Amino acid sequence: MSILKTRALILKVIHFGDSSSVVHFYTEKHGKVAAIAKGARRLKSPFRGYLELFACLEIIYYYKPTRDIQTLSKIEKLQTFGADTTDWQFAIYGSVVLEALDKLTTHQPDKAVFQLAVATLNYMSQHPNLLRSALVKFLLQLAELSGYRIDLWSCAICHRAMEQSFFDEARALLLCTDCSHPLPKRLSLDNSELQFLRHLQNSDWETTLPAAPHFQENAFLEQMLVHYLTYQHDLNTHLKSLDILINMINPHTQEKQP
Amino acid sequence: MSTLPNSVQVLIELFARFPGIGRKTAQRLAFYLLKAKREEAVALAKAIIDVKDRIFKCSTCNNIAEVDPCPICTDPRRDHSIICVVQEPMDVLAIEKTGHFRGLYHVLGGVLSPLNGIGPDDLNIDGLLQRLESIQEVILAINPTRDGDTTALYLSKLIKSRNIKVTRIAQGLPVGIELEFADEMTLTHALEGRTNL
Ligand SMILES: [Zn+2]
Ligand SMILES: [Zn+2]
Repeated sequence: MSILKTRALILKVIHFGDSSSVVHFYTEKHGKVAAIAKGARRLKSPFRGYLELFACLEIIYYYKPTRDIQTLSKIEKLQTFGADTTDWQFAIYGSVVLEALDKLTTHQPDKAVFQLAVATLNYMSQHPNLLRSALVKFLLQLAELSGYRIDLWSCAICHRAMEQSFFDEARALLLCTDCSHPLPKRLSLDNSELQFLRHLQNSDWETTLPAAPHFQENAFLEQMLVHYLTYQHDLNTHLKSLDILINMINPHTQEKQP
Repeated sequence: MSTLPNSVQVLIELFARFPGIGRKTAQRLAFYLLKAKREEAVALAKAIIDVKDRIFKCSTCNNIAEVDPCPICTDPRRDHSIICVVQEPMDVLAIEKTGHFRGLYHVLGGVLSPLNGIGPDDLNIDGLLQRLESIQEVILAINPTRDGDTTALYLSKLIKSRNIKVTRIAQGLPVGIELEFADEMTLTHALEGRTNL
């Protein structure tokens, strides 16, 4: 058994037994880790108040390779994201980030993925009017870090430059008008959407991200990117929080353009 | 475990599904019932069936009751211009015990929780909006968790757009706690919710 210390984000907390909780983390050094916080739901537990979503923590836990669930020893809060937000939308967009981090990543530790998630939640805290842009950028970069950078410039089949593009759901490819023509089910991205994605793919978190060009029905870009990641990782999963986002954020409550 | 008779094992399994009950406690409860008099066990079984057959949800406030509307909703001595919004029926009980609230209640049946797929349609929010006509103040007595905070922000936006006063119960230090042991979030809330002396 060894004692490990790492920064971590909480992905979910599940009640366990009489008074404990099992906490699922995405850690900076060791990837996804599940650990039991014994007695966490007791009034005087040192874990009380710390096992909430949207916080960057430093955790210390006892690690045994033979166990699926490790034992949490100590926890310290480094940063709370969206702590003083007055907008409920932060938690909706932030939840999609956490769920994607949980479901659309491998079990391989990846420091860059951890840092991407922290940067995204940080950006969302500071730019409540650019939640969509931050989420879309997160998904684009998550694809890139997983080794599946999306080519937003040239057609996946004929490699010609694209002015507008069509997403082929069946093969998760971005195609030009000609190559996508015979497809029965093609979702179109117009030039402004394509430009928006390109801009996000090449910008860093220090700059001001572009605002989404216009609101697409059913959070189309987010859905497309989640579909893309699911396909590439060969997963059979869907994000519950994305369903909620689509349900709650309709064109009438659309974020304000800066 | 396999040495236990099947019927005892079933009972333990069922107890272990209860919130806050682990396997050890489930076993203790099952063995308690084994030793208990037959009448006691039958009374328990009957009470469970009664609760399932006779308890309804009030169609106005969504609280549990034996009559619809519930006695709180029909009580003329209560202040019908204030609604206190809570997550669960248990929270109504907790606030009633204080004896300091004389308005009406509204039970949401949970909080928004995107990661668990719980959105506004899964909560009794429409029911609340329909009750707002003659209401002057809505008090949000929702748990101070992140999901609770999101729910409070969401509701307050909906309710404020109808020009009704919205408040949230103060979040701060529990009675008897020493400052140095309070976490950062609790202290922040306590500072924000400070009162005049
Ligand atoms: Zn092509
Ligand atoms: Zn009632």
